Amino acid sequence: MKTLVMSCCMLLVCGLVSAQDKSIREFCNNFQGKAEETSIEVGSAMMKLGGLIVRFADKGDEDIRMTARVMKHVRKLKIYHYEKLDSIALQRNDLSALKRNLMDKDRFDMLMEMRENNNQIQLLNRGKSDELGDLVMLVQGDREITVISLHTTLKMDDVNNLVKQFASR
Amino acid sequence: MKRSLLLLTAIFLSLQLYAQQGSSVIERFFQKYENDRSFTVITITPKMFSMFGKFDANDPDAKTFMRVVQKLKGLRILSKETTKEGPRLYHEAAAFLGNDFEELMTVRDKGNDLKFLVKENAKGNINELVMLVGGPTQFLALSLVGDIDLNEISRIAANIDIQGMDNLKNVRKK
Repeated sequence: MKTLVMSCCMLLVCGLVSAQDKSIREFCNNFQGKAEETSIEVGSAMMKLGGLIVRFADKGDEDIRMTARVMKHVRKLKIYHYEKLDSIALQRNDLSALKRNLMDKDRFDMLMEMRENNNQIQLLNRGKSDELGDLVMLVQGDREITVISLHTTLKMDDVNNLVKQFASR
Repeated sequence: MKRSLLLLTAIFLSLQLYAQQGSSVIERFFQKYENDRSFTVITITPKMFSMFGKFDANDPDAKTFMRVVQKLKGLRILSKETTKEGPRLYHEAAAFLGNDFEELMTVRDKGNDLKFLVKENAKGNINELVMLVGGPTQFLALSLVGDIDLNEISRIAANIDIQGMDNLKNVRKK
């Protein structure tokens, strides 16, 4: 019974993660062939490996120890960057459509929004009040768009410790 | 029985309508211009403020800042730079606010108008602070929602890089 409940929970989490990915993938597919594309994807294994390398670099340094601890909680990082965008593609697929999908279908909450002329930044997250959880940052410039998606199991305490660590320097 | 039920429904609906009108006065002004690309728009949601609230700081200034931020629920800024419409927008926004807000302070300096207005809740605490700035070349409207203590806000206002906010230190402390 316990195994069944655990499996259901895992499936639910995986479902939510893939829904977020699907919304972003669908949005990004609109720009294929219509812009210069750069994409970076770092999975959890790579993050853990990175964390290990960082930890081996200097065992005594608290900054490094903190960075490694944070990296351990990052499950996936994806960055999509499109520049020299076709103006028609940009007009038809601005970030508001992706924002709506993330909020309506994938249960993301808006944290912050900024817009100046044609530049805008939107920050959304999905997680309990004490979690950073999954984070999506949408950045739109004149003819460029960047989507940063971060899946984490980071608690606000981890972020707080990270901020305090670097603020104290 | 049927009549009492209808009466109760009518009261409930009118209360809902009253609540919606009360909270959406400045919101309507923001909504009117937020899709206009010539305006700069900044929105910080209650969730972001609640996340800020989880941070604790060692620095005394940061501690004061965090204590104030923990009580806030939302911030919206609408501004337009290098515009000749500053005075018109200022008067339009002020007219939107009407009787719902109490004027706290008004400053006129070389054609630049600045106004602070507050809205109190049933307990008499300030739950919304609005700042309007209108000049020959600029306009700014700011709405801050939450449990607002003017003494605390004015203390951190000097460190907030928002035009006009530093004038809060001149507001009479209650």
